[in-house]
Amino acid sequence: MDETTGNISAVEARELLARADSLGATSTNAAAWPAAVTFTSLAIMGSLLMIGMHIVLVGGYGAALLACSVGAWGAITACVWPMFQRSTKAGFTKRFLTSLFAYFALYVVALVGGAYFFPNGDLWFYLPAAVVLAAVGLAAAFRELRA
Amino acid sequence: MSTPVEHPRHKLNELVHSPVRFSIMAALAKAESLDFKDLRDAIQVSDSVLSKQLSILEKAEFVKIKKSFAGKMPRTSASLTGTGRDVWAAHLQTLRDIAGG
Repeated sequence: MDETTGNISAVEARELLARADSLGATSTNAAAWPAAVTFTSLAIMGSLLMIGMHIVLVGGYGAALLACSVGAWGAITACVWPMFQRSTKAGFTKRFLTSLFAYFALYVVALVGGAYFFPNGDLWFYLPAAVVLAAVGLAAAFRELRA
Repeated sequence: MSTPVEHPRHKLNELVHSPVRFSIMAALAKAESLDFKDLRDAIQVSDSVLSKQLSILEKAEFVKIKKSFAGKMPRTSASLTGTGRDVWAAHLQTLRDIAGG
């Protein structure tokens, strides 16, 4: 390939297309991991908290305080962490924000629903809630890795 | 008498076709933004070469450079502009036309 665009053959064009594909893939290889780690952490945190809610509500110790403080910690961490991420895949901002809003919307629904309808910490509510939160968090992680 | 069909190579963008700039555009096309160091490592050029070629692409409004600080450390990242993405897509299409013909 020379500076001018003259005399480019079909073979050279194919090589350039292959090189463009390869470069595009390698340049963003490591970019998905921080977001994937964020959502995996959220998946672990949310599901653990649901089990914690069951334990705390049955024991009668400040469940709401626990849920709100862990939720706030998770939200702040999830928002601050990506600010240090300088390399991102195409469409990252939209994907990240939709996944983040979906996760926290579900988190709030699980907390409010649990506190309102199951104030005694019914395991039949909190166990499925833990599974669903874990599934949504992990789905968001895989979504970023496969993007 | 019919006019001869123009060969697709005439549609290639000369600014983008240069080897280093081609690599920069290819790397940025799959990213929302790339850190200067990640970009440098991906296309395997020196800081000065990358900086010079990025300036050329920025001047052509194909690339947007963002400079910020993480504490006292300067951070530079680059991304393709809308124009840059259009030009890159057209360039790849032309290459596909040549490859197919």
